[in-house]
Amino acid sequence: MNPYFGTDFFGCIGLMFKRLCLFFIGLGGPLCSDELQVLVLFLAGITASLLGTFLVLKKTTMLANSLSHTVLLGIVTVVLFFGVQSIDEIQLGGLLLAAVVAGVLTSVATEFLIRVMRIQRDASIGLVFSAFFALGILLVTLFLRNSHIGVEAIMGNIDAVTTGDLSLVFYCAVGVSLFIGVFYRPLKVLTFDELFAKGIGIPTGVFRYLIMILTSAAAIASFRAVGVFLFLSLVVTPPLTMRLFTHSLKKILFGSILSSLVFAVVSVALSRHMLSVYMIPLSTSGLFVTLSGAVYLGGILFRNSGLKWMVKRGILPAHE
Amino acid sequence: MSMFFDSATRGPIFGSFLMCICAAVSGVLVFLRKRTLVGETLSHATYPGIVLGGFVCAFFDGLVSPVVLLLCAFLFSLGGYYLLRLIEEKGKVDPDNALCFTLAFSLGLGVLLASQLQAESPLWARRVQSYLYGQAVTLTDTHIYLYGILTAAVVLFVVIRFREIEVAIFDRVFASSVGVKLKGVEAALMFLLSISIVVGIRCVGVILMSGMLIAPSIVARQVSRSLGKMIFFAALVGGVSAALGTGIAFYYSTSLESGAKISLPPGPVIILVASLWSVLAVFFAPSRGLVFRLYRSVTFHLRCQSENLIKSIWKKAGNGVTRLKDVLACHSQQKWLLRLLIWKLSRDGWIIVDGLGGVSLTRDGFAKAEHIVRMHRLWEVYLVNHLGVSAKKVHRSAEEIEHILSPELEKELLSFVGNSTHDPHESPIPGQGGVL
Amino acid sequence: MKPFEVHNMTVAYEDETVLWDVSFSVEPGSLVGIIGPNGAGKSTLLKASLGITRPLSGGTTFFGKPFSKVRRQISYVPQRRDVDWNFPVTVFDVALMGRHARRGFFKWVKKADKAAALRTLEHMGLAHVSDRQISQLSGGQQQRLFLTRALLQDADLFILDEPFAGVDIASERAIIDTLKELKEQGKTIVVVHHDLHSANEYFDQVVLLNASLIATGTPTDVLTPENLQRAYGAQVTLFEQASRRAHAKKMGIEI
Repeated sequence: MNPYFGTDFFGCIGLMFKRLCLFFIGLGGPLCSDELQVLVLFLAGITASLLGTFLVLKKTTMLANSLSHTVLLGIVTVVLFFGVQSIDEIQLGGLLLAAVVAGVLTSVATEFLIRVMRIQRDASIGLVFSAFFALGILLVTLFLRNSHIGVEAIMGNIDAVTTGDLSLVFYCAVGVSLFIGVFYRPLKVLTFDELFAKGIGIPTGVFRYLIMILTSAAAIASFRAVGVFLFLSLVVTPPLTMRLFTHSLKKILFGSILSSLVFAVVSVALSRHMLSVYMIPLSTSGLFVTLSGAVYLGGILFRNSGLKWMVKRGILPAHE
Repeated sequence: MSMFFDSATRGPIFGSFLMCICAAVSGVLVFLRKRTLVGETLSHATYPGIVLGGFVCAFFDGLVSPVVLLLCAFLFSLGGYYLLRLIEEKGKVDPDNALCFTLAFSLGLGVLLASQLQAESPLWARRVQSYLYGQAVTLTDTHIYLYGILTAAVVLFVVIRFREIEVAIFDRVFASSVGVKLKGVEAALMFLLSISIVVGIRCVGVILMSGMLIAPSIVARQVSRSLGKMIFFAALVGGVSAALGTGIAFYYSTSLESGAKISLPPGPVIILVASLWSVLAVFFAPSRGLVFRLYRSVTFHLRCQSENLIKSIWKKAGNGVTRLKDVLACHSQQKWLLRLLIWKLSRDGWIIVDGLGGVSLTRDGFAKAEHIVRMHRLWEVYLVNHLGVSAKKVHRSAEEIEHILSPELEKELLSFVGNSTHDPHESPIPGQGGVL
Repeated sequence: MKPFEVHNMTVAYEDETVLWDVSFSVEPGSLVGIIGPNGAGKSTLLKASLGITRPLSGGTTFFGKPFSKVRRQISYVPQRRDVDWNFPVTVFDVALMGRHARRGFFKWVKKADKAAALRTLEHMGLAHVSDRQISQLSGGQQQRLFLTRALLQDADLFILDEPFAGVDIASERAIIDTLKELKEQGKTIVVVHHDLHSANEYFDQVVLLNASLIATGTPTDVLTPENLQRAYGAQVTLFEQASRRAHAKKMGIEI
């Protein structure tokens, strides 16, 4: 029996806090679905925000969009070659392989269209991801007899998330955090001034590929939780929101991570609240994206007036 | 083939045919304005609209349902466009980032609303969900009429306003000087795009819509550069892909051996067919296809070799006879290739090969050789006198350029150095006006 | 050992300018300007020399060696417009990037580095904005910041791409003064310059370029009416058109 059954918003948060604290000390029982959801959302959010910050600043988010479509083909390739019965059973090695396949396919095909065939950039990107995604759906429908894959790919199925998914997302989060942590300075330089970076010997091409593969891997890991398309929202929205409020790269990174945690908790709690109190079952991932998006839009609309108000009240210094 | 007339299947096939024509036509315009990714975003933006439409339909029990859904989708598509503009301008965000945010946010909003719809009316929730990947299978004759009218409207608009659109796309400076309101055209374009998207999503779905905007345009672009022809070919490709795709989806859906029916979704099949056309066009389009480029590149290379052979003969013997062996020895290419070229040159009337191992130029061949050498040496003069290049380096460039000068370039070259008599290496420059 | 020597470099792409068989060298300890009309291949020359794009043939040696082996001795300052000035980073951080480049990215930033950064910023007149976001800088300040970063790299050869474009007079003066100071310290400076008139005053050696090398030497020797006519006159377009056509024919593109 799910301990969260019947709890309202604050009750849910309170209970979650208590249970997770116990869990991390080692005293609590096995994680139940709501907690898994929060953790998975949070960890997926960490990975996405960290990568997303650099993607947003480098203005290559369309690449992330493209990858979010092609990863399906990557997954299918791995599944077909390794005889795994279904998508749910992908392990870490398979995940990385699928990510590499997807990343390489995308970039090779796109570059071919742009460089050799001289087709304009936006059309090349669009054709590649549409075609590959269509192919992915067909292969999955035909060979894996899974006709729901299309919908799952978008919405994810967070209610069915397992500890296996949790571990995948966890490894991704750890991997990406390490990557960003270790290579923070070169990444900062190459995102800001690529020519200068090349001049001082930073292998910009290698970094570009690494980021692409990490993004694919993260998308695949988040496949089940939020679906790859909503993963895109995790990539783009927190950095954009944080950029509105701060000018420090470190603050953007940490703020994005923090906001993932906040929105994860709020979405799960709110979804539980709506279910318990109003008997309305809302999609948790839909809530997450809508809430974080709404906050961003609100930020855009009210930022200027909000800042003016804060300066008037003396909360903020005049310049900035 | 009976598929086309069977009442169950003709709806989907003709319906898809019409819908994809509409999408392809708008796709060309968006493609030429390099805004295809906006199309992707707007198509995602329609999803929450469709879900809301689902609520309305559920409330009114399905009265005038297709129209309601289309209308809501259309409004949200336009709304998506304004949201984009808002983010770009007020948020000062790069267009690509704005696009990504909008498309992900729209989808998320749609998913949220859909979860509520699922609780209220599973029937409508399922119908709405089918818009994600298209649901051409359930199109009826009514739909053929409805979508036919919309497609006709879009095509008619493009035809009537053709001149303005053409000018606004290809020559914006001229357009504004002639009074074409560029902003108006832009707004009309977005309007058209939204209609086409709304028409197309029932067929190929929200997610894959941009494929139907782009693939036909790529084929069209490979085939022609004129707007009218591009629109025609795009429409053709769009329509044919749709009919073929739907047909294939039907055919394979109904004929699975094990008895278990897996229905192939037509949307992805249509997109794949269209993409296949793009790939074919990329490789095989006459004049722009890769295969033709390769062919042209090879024939150019062979032509240069042939001309070099003619030059060698001229240098060795002028108007007279020289030994074929000596000529061949000067060239480093494969002997069999050189012999083949010699054979072709003699067949085409540039040289004469006598039976005793000698070779000479015909009158035409002589004139041609003189022309090439003249161009070569004039080019060298040009490089030395006008670009200050040292005389030691000019030969290599002239070897290349002598083969490619067009009549206009030749005229320009002559205007600079036409009356020179000797090249930088003191060789005389053959006179002009040779009989060619 | 010449700090900068170009050997027979040819660069040809469909979209980019053509550069054909260019060779010249630069004397150590001199301030050199590369001049030519817009689109003459000056930036292309730099990028191909530094390995950012690939030349069709030929190359450039630095102190007798290829670029990758002597990176630490060279400081490259790209054009201002290639950079995203809305990036969330402060003036001080950008300056410090120069030191990171010198030391490698994985070492701790020492107090001495920070002090050096502040000192150089002060020298360039930017100390009062060191905490500001780079988006708040003027064009001249941005260029001076780039130069600060370059100075902190402590290189022997400085390569600057159009450092005076869009810069106010005061900043231009500050920059040229700093470059002259560097010259006095024995460093070599190569500048891609867009303006003919100041070339005489600024540079010891001038390289006049328009797809090919027109002339190189002292400003008085190079900037003669005859050479200028060659560089800026109409004759070069023929060369460019012919090269483009040759390239297209080889690629099988229909003309």
